[in-house]
Amino acid sequence: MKDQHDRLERTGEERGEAPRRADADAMQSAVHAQPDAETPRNPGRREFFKLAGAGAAAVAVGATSSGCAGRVVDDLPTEIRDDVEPVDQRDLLFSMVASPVLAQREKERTKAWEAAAAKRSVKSADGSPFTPVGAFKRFFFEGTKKYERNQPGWSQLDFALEEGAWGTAGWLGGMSAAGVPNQGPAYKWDQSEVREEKWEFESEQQAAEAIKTAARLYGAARCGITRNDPRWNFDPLYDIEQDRTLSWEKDFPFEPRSVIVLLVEMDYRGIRTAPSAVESGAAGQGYSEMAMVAGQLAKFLHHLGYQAVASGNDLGLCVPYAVAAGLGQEGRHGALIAPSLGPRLRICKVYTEFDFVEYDQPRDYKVTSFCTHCKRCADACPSQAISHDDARTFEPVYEGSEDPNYTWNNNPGVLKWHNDMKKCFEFWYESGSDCGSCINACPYNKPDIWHHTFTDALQPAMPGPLHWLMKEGDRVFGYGSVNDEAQVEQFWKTGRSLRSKSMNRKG
Amino acid sequence: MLGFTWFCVGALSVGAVWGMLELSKRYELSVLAWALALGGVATVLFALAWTVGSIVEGEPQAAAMGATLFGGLGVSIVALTWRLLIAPSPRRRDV
Repeated sequence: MKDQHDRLERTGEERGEAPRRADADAMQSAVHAQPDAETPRNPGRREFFKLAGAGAAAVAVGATSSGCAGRVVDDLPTEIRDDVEPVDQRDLLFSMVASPVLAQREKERTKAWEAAAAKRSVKSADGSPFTPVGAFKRFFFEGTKKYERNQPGWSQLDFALEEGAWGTAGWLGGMSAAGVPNQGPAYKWDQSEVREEKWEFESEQQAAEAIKTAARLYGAARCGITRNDPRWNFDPLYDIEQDRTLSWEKDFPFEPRSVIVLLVEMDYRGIRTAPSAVESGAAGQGYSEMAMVAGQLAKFLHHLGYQAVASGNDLGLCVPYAVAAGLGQEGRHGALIAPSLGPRLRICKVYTEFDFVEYDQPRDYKVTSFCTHCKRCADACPSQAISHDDARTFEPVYEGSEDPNYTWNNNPGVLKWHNDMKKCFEFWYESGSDCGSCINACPYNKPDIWHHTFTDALQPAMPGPLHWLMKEGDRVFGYGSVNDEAQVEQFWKTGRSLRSKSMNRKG
Repeated sequence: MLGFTWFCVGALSVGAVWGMLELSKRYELSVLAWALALGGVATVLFALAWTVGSIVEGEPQAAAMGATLFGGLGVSIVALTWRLLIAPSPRRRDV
């Protein structure tokens, strides 16, 4: 090769021509063979490729270590005070609005909320004043017909979509969406089908992989496994229908050791229509899939010989469990933000006695830093329920938060943005939809296409001020618009090609 | 559609590197010239993939903004690199 190179080089130089391709290849080989060559032909190119290679390696390592994968942390990636206590389920907003008996018993709370709502001039479409129990009754039980109007996103067509989407959630999950425990075939506490013989896994890793594989088959978009943590369980539990409290020790069928957390993706095109009845359809479809995914996974564990109970909005707080399982972080709007999905997801869980399993670790995805500078959800919220504050707090600081009869539904002790969910619920009552504007407007809410994954991976490496720039860029690029009738029109065309190809990707 | 786009981006990347190698026979290219020229081409290809991706997801405004911002930036880098770093330094032929 060396001889050939010398010959080619000589002949080229002798002719006074620029080296041909074969010459260049031979020269390159020769340079590699002779690192001490005194006069490499193209030092600029060589140096460039060296630098480019090193740079690419550095970028790859950086993106892998700090990007979508997040950084493993020991405890939840926020501060939690030692005095944080489990939430009494009677203090949940949904317990209060769904239980006339509880509302009657807690007169002071009801009065404080009604006074605040009157101050904000909250009224239904037909002008009825707001009452917590009345609002729930109208919203959940009296049907959506009264909200129909001849506007894109609010017509009979759109509300029919919503009613259909919520179908399975009701059939399988009963009142679980309002936090009622032991509901429907999916979320029942009955353990009669648990097999006597227990399946033994060879290792904790194999067990975790098997559970996650089953979750994937049943339709989960993500799955993480964490330990049961009494801080995040409702205690006591509260059965709205029977107006009685339930104890984990006396009433729950077993002592849960692990919680399998499952994420269900909501439809991107549906959520982009928010606020609208179409968005409520996307949320309802999420609830229906929650009942199937969690219910089926619980049944899988029963047939492996282990006790398990599926859970939707009941039994415990979904967001801290999902954070503990490393699936994401809590955003400014209070929803979980997961890589690639953003807040466009629903969370369900399976409580089980099974504990021979490899647990997931919480991860820091730098969401808090981004949310500090972003605030798009707070800007988009039609009832201004979401905090605009830069700093997070351990206690609620919104208007009226000094009155304990108004802030009963917030759980203090966790450093986060405490939002006024009563204002949020009031808009549900006014509009007849689940709203979803905060999820729609969130810059993390993107479909699963390469450039969004790329941006997600870059975000954690960016300093704070650039997060503001990314937020503004998101707006300029046309994402996250709310009350956008064109999005409703676009949604109703997404089934167009379903005859010839699968259009069921949600993102 | 995205798969075909990535195929085109790959082919165009190879074409860009080949074009630079050809250029290096005619011009003295510094490390900076190599970096800026290939960086500019990469930015243009990034804009192409971004634009197609945005069209596929049904976001025409994002497609237009991506083509304008990223594509404009890439073309500017390539043009300035050619005018300021490459064109003024042709390789001398030893006779």
